[in-house]
Amino acid sequence: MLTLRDVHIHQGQFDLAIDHWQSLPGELHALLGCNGAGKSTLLRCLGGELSHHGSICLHGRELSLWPSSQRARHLGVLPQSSRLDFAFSAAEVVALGATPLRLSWRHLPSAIRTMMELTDCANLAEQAFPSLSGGEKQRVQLARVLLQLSQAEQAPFLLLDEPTSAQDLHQQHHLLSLVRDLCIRRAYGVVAILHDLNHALRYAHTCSVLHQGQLSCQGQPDNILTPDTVAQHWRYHACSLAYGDGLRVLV
Amino acid sequence: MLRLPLPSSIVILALILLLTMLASVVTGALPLPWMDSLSFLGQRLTGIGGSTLEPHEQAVIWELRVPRTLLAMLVGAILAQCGAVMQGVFRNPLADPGIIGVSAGAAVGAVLAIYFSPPAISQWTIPLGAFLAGLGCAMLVYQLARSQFGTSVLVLLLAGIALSALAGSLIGLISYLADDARLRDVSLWQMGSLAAADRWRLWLLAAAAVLLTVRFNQHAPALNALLLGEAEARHLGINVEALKRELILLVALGVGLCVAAAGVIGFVGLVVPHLIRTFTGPDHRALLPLSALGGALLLLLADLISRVMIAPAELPVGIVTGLIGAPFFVLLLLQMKGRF
Repeated sequence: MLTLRDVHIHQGQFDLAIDHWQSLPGELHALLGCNGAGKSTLLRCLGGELSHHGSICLHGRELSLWPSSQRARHLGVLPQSSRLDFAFSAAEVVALGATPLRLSWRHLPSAIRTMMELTDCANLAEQAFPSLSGGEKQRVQLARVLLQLSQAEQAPFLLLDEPTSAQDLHQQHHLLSLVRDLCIRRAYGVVAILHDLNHALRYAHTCSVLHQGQLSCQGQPDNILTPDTVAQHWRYHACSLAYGDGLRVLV
Repeated sequence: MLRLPLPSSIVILALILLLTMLASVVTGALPLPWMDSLSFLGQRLTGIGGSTLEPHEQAVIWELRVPRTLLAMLVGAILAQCGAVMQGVFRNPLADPGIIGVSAGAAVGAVLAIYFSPPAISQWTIPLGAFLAGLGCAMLVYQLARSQFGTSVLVLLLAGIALSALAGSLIGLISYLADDARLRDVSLWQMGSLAAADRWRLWLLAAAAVLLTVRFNQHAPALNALLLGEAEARHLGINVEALKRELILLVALGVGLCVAAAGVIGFVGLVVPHLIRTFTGPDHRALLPLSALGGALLLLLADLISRVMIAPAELPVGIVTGLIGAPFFVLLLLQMKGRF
């Protein structure tokens, strides 16, 4: 379980204040909100990158008190984009995910291959990472983070910063079904910043909406994402359409 | 992608290095039959057999050429590894201690030590001064150039220009203020040479080379993770701040000692890691040991060239590495064009 309590962050002009927030193992939690609402700040805070007041707990233990390699096996972060000026191959980048693991060199290649197949980038293994497109880089990085979390003893948490931003339509849905699957089958906890509310409606188990550095509401996407809340937070008047199986979309 | 396996690369480089070492011992201003030189060397090392060389010829080999060969290898190995580590810490393939001004800073430290300290303790104070001033420069440049996306090439290079200019002026000022005896010491030191390979310097550099090689290799996986970015490395469980502190300290130590012992020798730390990367990729577990061997080889070759090119006189070895390195640097800049 990943829990925030009475967290205050002050960054230049921006303040983020959250009394209580949590994400459970087995759930895909979407962080929503308009630009500048504090989604990225919250995600970086969950990753332990920002100095803050209050407490951030992973499985009941303060994040800063985790031994660093053990924490790395339980909490993975996928950055939105990454820059690498050195010509690692894609498979070598994925291999870096094994840094905090105890993995013999004999098992490493098959572990890398498995992760790259999961994120649909096994065909890129031998290519130079800097030459890949934004979306391909992101999938390789996701494979790296999944490898990093592959030896967790308790439910691992995966933080995704706009994982679909650089992906094409097919890859967007492939990636979101993959992480949803990890939640359901392997009890991963996933927190993802999403911009497409329909992705949240279709894949997320829970969501929270941030507004001006405050937690505005949280719950199941179907209950939260009504045309009214959308209008209130995004200043856009959406229309809700139902289609089979009780699902709905916002247009 | 091209990836040569580490063991065979090490064996190949080590063999070439060994041959170059032998060539370095048998070559020089005083022409000696190479068979006799080698058998004398074998006799000194194993204690078997006799030598046909005259005592003064033996002294040329054992007191001049062997120490010089060792000094060139140690300095080359240290500079190349320091270059590779600096590039990893700055996440930038252009971060060579010479280019970003660390060597220039170390030179100021060394010259200050020559000027202010009594000659009796100068064998301690010169390396110490070079180390401290180099450390100051490395930390300054790092603070200047860092941003959330790694380090800016532009700021790195500009900081290097500024620091080198400042260093040049300071050394000029000290030379201006110095009396004749000190001036002579300062100018002699500034020419930089591998010829002054006394036992003290060799031991000091050998100790530094062992320390640096061991610590750098222990940190190789962490350096690999650091290439992904500082936040990413932190998420992978690396204590990034402590790692950077230690590595910058070690680089300043290595560069400071090399500058104190042999003057400013540029481009070794830039050229060698770059060449090694094209064969084995950026993985520091292969890059660091191979850079050590490659750096030793490059500086030994450069020294050999500097000794035979205008024999019996010699060129300062920094000129030779500059002639190799500067065009290489321009090529690298061209390659990186558009990424500033």
